[in-house]
Amino acid sequence: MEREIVSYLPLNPRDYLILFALTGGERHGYGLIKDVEGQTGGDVSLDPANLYRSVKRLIKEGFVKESERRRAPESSDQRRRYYAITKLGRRVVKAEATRLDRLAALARSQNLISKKERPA
Amino acid sequence: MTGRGASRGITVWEALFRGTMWVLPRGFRSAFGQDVVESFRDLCRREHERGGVRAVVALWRRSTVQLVLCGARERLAGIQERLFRPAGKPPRRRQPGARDAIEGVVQGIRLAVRSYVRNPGFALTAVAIIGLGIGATTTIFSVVDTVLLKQLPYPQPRQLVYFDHASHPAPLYRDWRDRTEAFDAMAAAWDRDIDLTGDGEPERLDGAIVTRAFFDLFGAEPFLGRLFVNDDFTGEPRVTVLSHGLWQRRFGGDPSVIGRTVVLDRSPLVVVGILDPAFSPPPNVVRSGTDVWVPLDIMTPAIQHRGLFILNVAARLAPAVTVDAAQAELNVLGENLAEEYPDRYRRGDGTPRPMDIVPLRDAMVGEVGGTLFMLLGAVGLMLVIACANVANLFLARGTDREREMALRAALGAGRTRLMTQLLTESLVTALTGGALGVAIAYAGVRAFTLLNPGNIPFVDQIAVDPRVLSFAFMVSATTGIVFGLFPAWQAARADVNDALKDASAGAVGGRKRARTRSALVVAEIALALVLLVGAGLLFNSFVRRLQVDPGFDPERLMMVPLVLQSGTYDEARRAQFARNVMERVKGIPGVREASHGVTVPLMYYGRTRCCWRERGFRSDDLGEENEELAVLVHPVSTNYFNTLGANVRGRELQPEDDHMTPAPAVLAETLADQMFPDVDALGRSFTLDDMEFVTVGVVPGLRHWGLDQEVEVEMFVPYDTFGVGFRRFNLVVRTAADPATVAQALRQAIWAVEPDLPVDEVITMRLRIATSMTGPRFYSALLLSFAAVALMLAAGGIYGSMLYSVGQRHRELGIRIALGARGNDVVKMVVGQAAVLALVGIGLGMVGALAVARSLESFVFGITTTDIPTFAAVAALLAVVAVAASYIPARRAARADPMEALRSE
Repeated sequence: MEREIVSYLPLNPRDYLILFALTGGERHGYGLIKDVEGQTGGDVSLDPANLYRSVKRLIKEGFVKESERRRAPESSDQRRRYYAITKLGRRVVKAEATRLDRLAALARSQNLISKKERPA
Repeated sequence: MTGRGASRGITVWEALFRGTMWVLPRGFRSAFGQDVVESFRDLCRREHERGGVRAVVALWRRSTVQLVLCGARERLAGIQERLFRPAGKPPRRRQPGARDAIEGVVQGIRLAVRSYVRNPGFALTAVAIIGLGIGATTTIFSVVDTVLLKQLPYPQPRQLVYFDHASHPAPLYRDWRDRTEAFDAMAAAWDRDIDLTGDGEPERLDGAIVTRAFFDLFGAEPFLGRLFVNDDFTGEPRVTVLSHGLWQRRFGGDPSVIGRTVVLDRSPLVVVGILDPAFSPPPNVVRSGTDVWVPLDIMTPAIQHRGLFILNVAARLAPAVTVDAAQAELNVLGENLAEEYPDRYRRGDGTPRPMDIVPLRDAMVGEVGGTLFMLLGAVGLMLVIACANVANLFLARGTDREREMALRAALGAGRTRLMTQLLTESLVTALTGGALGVAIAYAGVRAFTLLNPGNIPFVDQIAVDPRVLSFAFMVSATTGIVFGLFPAWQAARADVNDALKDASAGAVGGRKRARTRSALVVAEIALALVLLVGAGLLFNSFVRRLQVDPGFDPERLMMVPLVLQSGTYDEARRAQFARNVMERVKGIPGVREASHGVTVPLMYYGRTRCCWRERGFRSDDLGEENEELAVLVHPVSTNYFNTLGANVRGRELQPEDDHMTPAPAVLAETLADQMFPDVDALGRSFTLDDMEFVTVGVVPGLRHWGLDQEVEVEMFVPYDTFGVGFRRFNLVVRTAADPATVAQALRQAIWAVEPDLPVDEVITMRLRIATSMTGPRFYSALLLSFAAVALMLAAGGIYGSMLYSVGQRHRELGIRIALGARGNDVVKMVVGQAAVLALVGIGLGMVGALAVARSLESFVFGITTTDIPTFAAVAALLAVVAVAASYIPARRAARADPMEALRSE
């Protein structure tokens, strides 16, 4: 009954980055923006509105859920909502990573990019 | 210091950002709005640390642009989600912008459907109004199409012509057939009632005796067996073809009836064929419902008299011969015949008697054509009013949707796109209304054929067919464009900036729109007035028809039409029958007076041929002659006028009058006035076609053709002398009580004298009169109902318009009330406003109605088409309705709460 994971692919790059960021643990909105910026070396800078637009979509797809846990009471962040990746989300992001890896491998095998070359 | 400054700098931008949050759809905003703002605040803090206020401003600019785009995408996605995607399918990602026109229309349809689901009241009202308009128009169109527009269902229909002026004698038919070149084929039919006896009850059937070319001319085919062949017209055995209906009804559809002998008018005839049920001959040539077909030998001695007008004649023009050319040839023949038979074919002024042909269709349709086009015009008007009404609805709705439109414009929807959407919405409305209209038309056509007002040819073939459906579709589409274009144009033109300002002010383009709405209401009132005047004139005419003095007293009067067939009855036997029946009928308890005649009043309403007409009046006393005057001669029994309750000046016909010379005659006033203009007709003797008469009485005319017809130039002569040669025999009885009580006794009396005589109907004169009014009643009722709908629509238009106007001026009215205006003043103001619209509409409508009414000349009776009471009554009615329709909105306005009005200011 369950949908084939490949049917969710390819992921929108922004969705991929958000899911990837969440694999590192629960994040709130600003945390995600920071993480994505960090992952891409500042190349991708999410604006709040579109971030939540993606989050809304990812929740709907079942890749992301709102975390039930809150930060410790002493944290000033207690009223914020945190998001966590679901099992499905994890599988999807992994599948997407594999897919991208295969594509990259293909490019490397044709010497399109050098083995060492990585996006900056 | 820096902290406070930073937070202040951030707060401003945050507030600005927050103030733009409304671009997000409400659902998104409530789910994530707070988080979006907080993330923005976090980013602001970081940017402020990194690059100060400049960085914050850059962030704000970037984020706000993204926010607006995000809002647009979300809203579109929302629309998509609700419409494009069946449940369970993931939303398609789509690039906004690149969408072609077709997609725009598809989207428009979905948006329209969605907006209707959201606002079903509006949709239902609009669809119902349009459906009604299109339904009525389609119904009438399907009648017009079948009767007037479609080809006649005969071979080479355009070449078929009909010989005008009713029936013609057989010798003249032969002259036409043999002495002209213009016609390819010519056929004649003689309508006769034929008695079928043996095998069950005696039955009187509608029969037609037809010439050789008849079935070929009209392309008839046998259903079973064969039609007539040449030998059938002269040789033995005599043969007959039966209608499919009679075969089913009387012979149970038994195929072995072919070859069997049936007894028609006491003669044995062999059935050779059953006629195709689809065959429907022109009703002006052969009565519809004819059941028995018999060959006519045109050389039969019995019909070789040039005064025997029995044949209905039609012909097919030879190829490339026009009606005019054929007419020219007939005119030459007419000249020749006038030479050969000056007595018969030369008129008093020396010119030959005209012999005219008309295209068969024109002859078949006759006056009905005008009536149907009049009805089509009336429903057309109704449809235009319905359009105006719906346009008004759309305009009012346009105001409510101004913000939606402006927002869509702000989000990048082009003007064309918005117009497309609005037009699509109106088209969807119109086409849905059209579908409803087609359903109404199905019912309408059924009702129309059931209520058949008579004299409509092919009434059984009227149907909602593909032609009618495509007509309905085109009318619907046109309607949608007509009522949709204007509101669409207005909405698309609306200024985005104005619209995005506080929408509760609501008066954006309000003035212009109010003007448009007022213009539409005025148009509705004007058109409704035109329709009401038309209906009023027809109704007034109908009432006047009913009030016509028939020249006799129709109360408790009963008539029994009988036919004494020539095969069975000779003159002596008819006279004998008359005496015996009268004796018995007079003995029936409850019968006060009884008499009989060849015809009775209203016997032949709606027909153009019947009866005995004579020409050739001469009065030796006065030395006057009038060759042209065609006198209708009615052989009647004694006590005839007494039974009818007609006032005779002089005396009635009496038993002693029979076989006297000169024969006593009772003259209708019309005839007396024409023959003896300056002297009293009583006691004057005269001759008519060499028969000698003396006037013994004068009666006001009896209306033979219908109450709305002129009184004929007619006279009444003794039955025993002049009537026994005719098959027709009509019994008239005046009863003491309800005539229905003696109906059965009347039948019994007839059967006691003649057990085999079919007695088709025993009907009251009241019913006969009512039946003769079917046409006028039907058409005036139809027009009245159209007018009633128009009136309702106009009232709805005024009501809606005033309600809207009151809503717009809510604050103004509140302030007025706050400043001391009383409710009464407000009511007066609003009603006054409606009255102004109504007056302008009525004024314009009057002009239109005067123009249109002129075309109703042939439909009015007893009044002129500029009948002032009708016009005045209609105008007054419309004014009253307009004022009444504005009263509810006015009351509402008067209750406006001044506090609320002031608060919102």
